[in-house]
Amino acid sequence: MTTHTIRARTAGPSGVPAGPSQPRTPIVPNGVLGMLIFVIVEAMMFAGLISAFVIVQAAAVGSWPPPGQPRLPAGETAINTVALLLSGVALLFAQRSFRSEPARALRPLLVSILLGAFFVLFQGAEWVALIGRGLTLTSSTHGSFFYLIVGMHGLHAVAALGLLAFIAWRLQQGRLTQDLLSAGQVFWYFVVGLWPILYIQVYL
Amino acid sequence: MSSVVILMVAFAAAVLCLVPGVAEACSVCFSAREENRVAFIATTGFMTAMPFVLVGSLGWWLRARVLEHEQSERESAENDRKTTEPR
Repeated sequence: MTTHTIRARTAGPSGVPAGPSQPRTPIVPNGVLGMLIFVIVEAMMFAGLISAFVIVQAAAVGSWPPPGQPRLPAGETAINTVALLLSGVALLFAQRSFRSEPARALRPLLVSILLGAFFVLFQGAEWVALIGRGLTLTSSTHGSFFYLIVGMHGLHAVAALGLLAFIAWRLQQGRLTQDLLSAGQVFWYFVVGLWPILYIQVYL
Repeated sequence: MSSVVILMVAFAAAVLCLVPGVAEACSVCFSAREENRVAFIATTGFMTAMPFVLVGSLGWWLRARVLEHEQSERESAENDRKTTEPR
């Protein structure tokens, strides 16, 4: 699918297709297309989780969060959200640097990884504090959905950070390809782009 | 009026008589609260539209890439033709 031949259309006025010697040019790198399909599948999964959460929240009698359950730290998480968004911006700079001068891409890439790691660690610290205040996976539907949705996003963030670390390693070795970097970007931008939606739905 | 039309009108009237006043998908999906009903309708629309939006976006993007590629191939072929053409 990613390899596109346009022989029939561009073969010339006679319409005779070009011979087999004509190179096949990929329209989209296989890694990027694979990652896009993966992201679509994951987006559907998160859409299902968000839908279920919205329905349970709407069906809740009384206040939300349920009585006796702590409020989520929306203010602190807003700072964390900014860190994640900045991480996405840093990756964009890494991509631009890689196109012009690959050696200069390492620094913004490392900044992106560090900001992403900060986000994950901050989330971990937040979970510890919330468990201490009585919000657990079994304490209420609020807790169940919070840990399920935010936890799933956290898992994706960790996996994407692993991929970015691999990309940084390949870059340092001088063996990084544009295709791999693009695939990593697709995954990280999904993680970054999804988070504000989850933040608004779950925290606010 | 032909007998076919009369039969069709009679059939439509019979079908209309059988339309239930309230159709509930299942017993657990019902709630008297307006927020819950709105949430069900909104999420049903959201979940229905999502696959079309996602797959459609991917298809649209791929098509744009193909068109872009074809354009560059055409330009490249045109340049080749100009350079190899005998003067």
